[in-house]
Amino acid sequence: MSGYAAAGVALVIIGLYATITRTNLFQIVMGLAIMSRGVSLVFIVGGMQTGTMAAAQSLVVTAILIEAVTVAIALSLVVAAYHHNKSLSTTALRRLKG
Amino acid sequence: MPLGGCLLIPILGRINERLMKWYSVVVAFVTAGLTVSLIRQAGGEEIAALYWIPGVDATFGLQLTGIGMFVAAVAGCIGSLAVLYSIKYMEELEEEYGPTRYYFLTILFIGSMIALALADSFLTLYIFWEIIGFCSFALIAYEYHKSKAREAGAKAFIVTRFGDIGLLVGVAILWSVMRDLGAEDPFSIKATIEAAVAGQIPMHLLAIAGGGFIAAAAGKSAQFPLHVWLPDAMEAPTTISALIHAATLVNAGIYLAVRTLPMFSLIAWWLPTLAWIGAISALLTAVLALFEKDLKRVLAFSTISQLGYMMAGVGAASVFASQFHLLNHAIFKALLFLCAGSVIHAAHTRNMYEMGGLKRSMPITHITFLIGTLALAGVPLLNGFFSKDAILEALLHQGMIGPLVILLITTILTAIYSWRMYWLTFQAEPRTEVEPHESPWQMTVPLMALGLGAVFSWFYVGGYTTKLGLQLPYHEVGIMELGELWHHTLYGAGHGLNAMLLVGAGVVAIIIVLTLRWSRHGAPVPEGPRMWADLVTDTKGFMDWFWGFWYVLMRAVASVLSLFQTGDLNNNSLWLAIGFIAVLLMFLGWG
Repeated sequence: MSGYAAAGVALVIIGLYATITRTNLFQIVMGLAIMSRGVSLVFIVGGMQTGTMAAAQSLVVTAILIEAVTVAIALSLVVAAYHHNKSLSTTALRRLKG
Repeated sequence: MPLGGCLLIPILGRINERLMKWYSVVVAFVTAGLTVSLIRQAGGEEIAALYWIPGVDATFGLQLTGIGMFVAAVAGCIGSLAVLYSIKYMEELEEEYGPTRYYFLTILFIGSMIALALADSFLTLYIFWEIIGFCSFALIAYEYHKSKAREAGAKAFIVTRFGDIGLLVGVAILWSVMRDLGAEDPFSIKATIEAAVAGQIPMHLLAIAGGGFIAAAAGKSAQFPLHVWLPDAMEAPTTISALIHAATLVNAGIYLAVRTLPMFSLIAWWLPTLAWIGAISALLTAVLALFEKDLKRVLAFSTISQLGYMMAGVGAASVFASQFHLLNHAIFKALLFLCAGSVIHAAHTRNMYEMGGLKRSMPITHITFLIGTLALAGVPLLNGFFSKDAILEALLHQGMIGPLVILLITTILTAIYSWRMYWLTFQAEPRTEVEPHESPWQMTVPLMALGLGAVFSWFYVGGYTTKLGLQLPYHEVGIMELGELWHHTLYGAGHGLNAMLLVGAGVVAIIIVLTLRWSRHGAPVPEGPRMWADLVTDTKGFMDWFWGFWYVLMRAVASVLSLFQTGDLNNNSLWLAIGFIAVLLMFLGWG
């Protein structure tokens, strides 16, 4: 059981690593998706251990739905950024520099 | 009603612009009618709480206090006249900037002011206080293509913010004290005043709150040293200036001070501070008005000056004097501003040195402006005279000699600058190239209505004082009938000397002397540029530099802080992750 939890935490860390180090916008979006998968996994493990599987499942299903929407919006933003900058790299998005 | 009404304006504006404008006028006039009818049926009970935010424990109660009703009625009536006036006046500007925004904000502005005046909750009061702050900012910056207008709007917003912080602190302190006292509604103004008078609020907390409220009142009512925003706010369309100066924004500060008077007058330094702030503001801006060349800015300085009188009136603990002057000032200042709008409309300039001789081409504007000027100067038999004297007398009664002397000097200066303003604009030979013409009826009707008000509003003193004290058990408003007012003015209030009539006579004498002098030697138009006078008036007595210093300081701090904004996405997410981990550790460590 703790193996599943460890896998979940590992997924979160991998996703986080991707969002911080990658410069390709698609890879960042993928990193975010991986992070949320890890969180879902930890939720399920927690639900099994405390015997509240029904609640955990319903939360995770909701989370998956929301995440689908979030990723769709994120991807559309990436497309818009690409049209704007003709580049998928974060280095092209520096307009908020103070 | 106006708050609901303003929501319809953008929708109607899509359908038909003309329809929307006249709809705004109707809303404004119905509002005015409602506020006046409030006065008629006054004395009724508190209108119950409107709705409730469960978490915050706050009710949005309204209370029909005497003072609040009159402030609301002033906002409603003068606001409606200004909206009617706008229909013609705004035609040119609207083509560039769009009418919907203008009418929406104006009606919201008036409605919020009324709500502010009727609220019986510091929270509601604070919310509407901020809404009128926002409306004034957006309306001053209405002509957003002009950088001066944008800057003036931002300046008005930021400078009044200094005061608003004071209000927020004061409200928070009073709320926490009232909550500890176990009050049913900790925001209620009525309950707070009762607790304060009963001595339940600790003195040091009351003092901090009182200081905050003074800052708030000084900010909104443009008193020294926060007066710098008001003259710059003249970049607004003239109707908005009239609204801000006469009907809504600046009255809020005075209203706040008067409303909380019984509470804070327990603090020894509170009343004298108000009196001194008022007196200094009045004198400083009266001097500045002597040298100003822009017609609207003269009026702006005179507004600060007259608000100074009201502040001093509050400082003398005289609810009647300050509120009576508020009413009268609202009438004649709205009149003067709308006249100025009419003049600017016709002469296409705001510089008084380029006007002159307008009395032939604009007879109605001329007569109404003359009435307004005389009322401002405090010539006997016009409303400004009676209320100004009431304030001076209240100061004398309280033995506040310092502010009294300053205000007496200011009265003389007021007569000089207002007569100079009138003379430069309407008398002497024309110095303008354009052919001025009288304005259409949508503009002259409000002028005539306000002109009549300026002549006759003091007849209403009996009814005014009777209703002023309604629902305000701690304010000690004396009821003064018309005959009594006469008696007071003619014979003084029991201290033998009849200084007030002397002041009135002095004002008349000055006007006569100036008239003789200028009709012989020509209007006081300077030859060539005057560097010093312009510099002093432009910087509002150098106070702009004082605040400018803070501005530069904040810019320096901001430029250092902006180094953290790398604009790099990966960097941002790195700090997000670090922050998240830090929060996690905090939970683990302290949980």
